[in-house]
Amino acid sequence: MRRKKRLATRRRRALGCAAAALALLLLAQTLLHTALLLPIQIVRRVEDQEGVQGARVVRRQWEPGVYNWTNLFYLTANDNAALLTSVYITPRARGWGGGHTLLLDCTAEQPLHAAQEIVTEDTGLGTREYHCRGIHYFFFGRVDDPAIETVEIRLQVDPAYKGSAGEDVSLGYLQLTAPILQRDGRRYFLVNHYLPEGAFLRDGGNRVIGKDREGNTVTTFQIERTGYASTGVVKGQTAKAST
Amino acid sequence: MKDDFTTAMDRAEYCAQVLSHLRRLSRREREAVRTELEEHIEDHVRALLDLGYDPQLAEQRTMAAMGDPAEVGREMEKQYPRGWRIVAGVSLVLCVFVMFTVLSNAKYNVRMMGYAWESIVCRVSPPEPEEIAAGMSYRKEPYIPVSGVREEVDIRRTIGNDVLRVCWITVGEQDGQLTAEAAACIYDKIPGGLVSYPSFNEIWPENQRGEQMVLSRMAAVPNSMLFKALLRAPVQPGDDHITLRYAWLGETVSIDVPLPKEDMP
Repeated sequence: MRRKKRLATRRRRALGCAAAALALLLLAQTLLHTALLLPIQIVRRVEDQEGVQGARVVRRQWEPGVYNWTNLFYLTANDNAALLTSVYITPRARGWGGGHTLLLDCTAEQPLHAAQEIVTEDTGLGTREYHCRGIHYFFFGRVDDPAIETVEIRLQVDPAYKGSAGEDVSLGYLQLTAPILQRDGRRYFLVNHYLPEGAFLRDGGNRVIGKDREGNTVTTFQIERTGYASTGVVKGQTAKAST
Repeated sequence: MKDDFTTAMDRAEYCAQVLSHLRRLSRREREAVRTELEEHIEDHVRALLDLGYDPQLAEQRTMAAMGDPAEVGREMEKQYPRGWRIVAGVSLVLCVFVMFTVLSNAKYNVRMMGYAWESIVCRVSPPEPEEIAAGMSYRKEPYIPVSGVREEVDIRRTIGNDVLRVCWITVGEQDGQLTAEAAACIYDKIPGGLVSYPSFNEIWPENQRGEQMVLSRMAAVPNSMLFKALLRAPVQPGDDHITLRYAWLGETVSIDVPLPKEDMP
């Protein structure tokens, strides 16, 4: 009997293509750690490298003004730590890249844990005619004391800075109120602010204040845990990101 | 007669009419459909010829049995839904993207493949202390591993997402101090996975009295998928083990590495 050649249907061909594409992608992602199509993959990679397991996303914030218009900041946390990770699409990474992160160890018994990420909008560290146009501040942390209902940040600014519209500046401090975020029975906060050239202090000491319902201070301390990053922006052009 | 519309047609005309109703098909798919139709007609004609039909009559009966070409065409088009074509297109784009990403950064990717290979080899054949020291090419002066009584060990312990494997333990004099040196490698549980920095940075070797050395940890050239390290602790005659302590984000691991059973120098 004549044996008929089995025709490749559209479905079979599509499934074959999809299987090949997925196999290639899996190989590139697991072995070469490249071709990462989702921002969360960068976040997970960073968590892995920081020794943090089982973290969950508390908040994802789009900040197009920091590095480029795709810039996302992820606040992720597990029972022992919180991380703030910056990711963005970059031609150099052929997809999602970045991954600068700041880890906050929350294992110590404290009413409040806080950290700050300082992203300078500058020409890039080590460049000639270094120029800083402003600083993006990100404050984040975890609230462990149930008595704390509000978290405030006192950001030290240039004493001559009077503040712009919507800014609460007094005695050389700009006050920010951080929204409380709930995740898996724990409370976190994340707040950011941009200070232009002439407003920020290079060696400013920023404080966090945890207040109860009546507005009494439960705890306050200077934020020691600090991460630094640079956008590497040269006259409106993105040159490189250095951390 | 009901089947008049087919009796007057020949095979080629019938196939052409069926194909004229298949608008969403690619050229290759149209050819496949034509081939299938022609084969089907041919099979039918042969069957009738075997039953003793006249060739012309067999052809006519076959064409009549094939049915309305418009209806056949519409039914056949349903077998080619547009969704699968989109899936194939997206898959193709994905393949091109991955290949472009891999090839356009070939130098980096070749290095990563080397790292992955090294991390796999390490699971089978652990490195010797001299090999680890040779990898410390960032140092101005070569790092001299402790020489003395050496014993091969195989201690594997999970720390975080990684595995710490102690391969060799050596005890000998180093700068006038009796020193135990453990040669270890750290790799991800999954081949190709990245090693976490704390797996190396947060390991502290100490002796039975909890004493540590100033320079207690040295690692070879960074391979993001494999850390090779020499971990030192001061020991005294009579000691039988050193301890590697790991503590990070609430996780604590303590690994006792027995010293060589041979007499220490």
